[in-house]
Amino acid sequence: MRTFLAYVKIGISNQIRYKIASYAGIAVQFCWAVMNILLYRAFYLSGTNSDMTFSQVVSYMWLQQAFHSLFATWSLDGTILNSIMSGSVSYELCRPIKLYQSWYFQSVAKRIGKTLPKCFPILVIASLIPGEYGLKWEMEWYTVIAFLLAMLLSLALVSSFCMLIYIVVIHTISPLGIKMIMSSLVDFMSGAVIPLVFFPEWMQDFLKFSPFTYMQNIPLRIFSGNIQGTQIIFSLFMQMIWLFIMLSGGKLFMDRVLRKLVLFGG
Amino acid sequence: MKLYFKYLRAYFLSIAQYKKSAVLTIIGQFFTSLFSLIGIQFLFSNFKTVAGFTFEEILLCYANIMFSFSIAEFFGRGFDTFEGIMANGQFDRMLLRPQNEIVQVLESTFEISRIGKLIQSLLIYLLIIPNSSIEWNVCRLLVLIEMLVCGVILFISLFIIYASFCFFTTQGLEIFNIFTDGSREFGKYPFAVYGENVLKIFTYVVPVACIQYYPICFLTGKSIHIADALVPLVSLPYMFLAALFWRKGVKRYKSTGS
Repeated sequence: MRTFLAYVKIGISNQIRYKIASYAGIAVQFCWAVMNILLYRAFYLSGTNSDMTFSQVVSYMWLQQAFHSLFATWSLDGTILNSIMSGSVSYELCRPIKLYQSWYFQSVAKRIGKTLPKCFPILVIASLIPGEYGLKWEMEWYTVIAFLLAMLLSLALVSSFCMLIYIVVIHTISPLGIKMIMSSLVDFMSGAVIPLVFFPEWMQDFLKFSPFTYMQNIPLRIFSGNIQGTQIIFSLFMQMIWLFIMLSGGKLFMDRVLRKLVLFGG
Repeated sequence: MKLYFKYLRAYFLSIAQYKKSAVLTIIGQFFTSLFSLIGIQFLFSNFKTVAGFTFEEILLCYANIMFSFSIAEFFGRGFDTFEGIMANGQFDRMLLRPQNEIVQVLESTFEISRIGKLIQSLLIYLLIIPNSSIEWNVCRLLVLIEMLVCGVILFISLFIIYASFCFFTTQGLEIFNIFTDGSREFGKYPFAVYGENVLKIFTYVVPVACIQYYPICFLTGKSIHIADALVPLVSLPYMFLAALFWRKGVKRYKSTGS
């Protein structure tokens, strides 16, 4: 736990050091949200969708941009990938902390560090916007708890998924191919391109059995009020199951890969 | 010009050394944009039309933007990465050579992976041009070609402007990405979709709408004004503006000293 907190601290201070870059990031994310909302408004003007109301879409888009770096499946940790390719992973193996834990905490911390300075300005400005384009905080106390819980679980799930990618990279050494194809596929299936609600029925049903539905999709829809009641409990439950599978699978897989790991001296 | 082709040849030769990695990045680019295409299709199966545009018309717009942007990125990659060229002192060396700096930056690198997107937009053309409701004739085909060529010019001008900011700030201005990457991301839909104000920005500040919304209205018969067909040509004076801005930047430039 203490190592984890230390990692978070490093992550945040790294981020704050580049102040101007992070302001620019906020501006870009903000414009992205505005453009997406305007786009969906055009769609809703020419037709209606019974599965998600426009105001729910608005909240979804604001939150998605605010927590962009928290749930991005494609953002793999460059230092980890480098340490695999350069072989300096061997130093980390010497440390008195298990490689899986160390990397996992490191990547979770990095995500939090990247997100914290960005999310608050966006959330505040978005809430101040009046009318139908603003971010609405219409939640009961129990949805607030469910939302926070779902955020934590999603973050843990996304990070554990990225761990799988790192482990595959240890195995294959070159990250290029898997990174490219996996990231765009997973991005799409987790609802980063368009919300999963707009997917065809059969595909939604199919994706319900995959871990991808339980990444950013769940917390964003809980917040916007698109999922309610027992559905929330069911989704949280599924998030936990997938997290358990990913974590234990990842650890097993990593032990196996490390046992066979051959380091080239140099 | 001869020299330019020599550089281009050298780039292709260097790519040929790492064929596998080149092919992988091309495939990766293809898939990334394929998913955003599927996303558009899903949205249309929910809503049928957007702001009076049908799915085919949006596809045409999407293919146009992707075609122009990927060609512009292929050739103009040097401006996209200009920050690095300036930071490591490469630009100082360029200034010493007896050749125009713009040409030299263009020569410095290319980006092969964008071919993945290019292939995709060509596939879309194959799919929609025979089947769409647009009646194709020589005039309309010429307008389409004009849109594509002017699109490439416009996007390269945007890259030049982006790079010119580096002279004033030494670092790339990430904010400007809203206009470069943003016009690729959101230019998939005609800018009129986003409402009056956004359309104005993308007409008068960065005239990306001039190579998509207005001429597409002409192609689909929504507008019969000949002006809408010719408006992509504003990218030519825009390019001069970009070059002027670049000149101004170069004049101000004092080496980064490293």
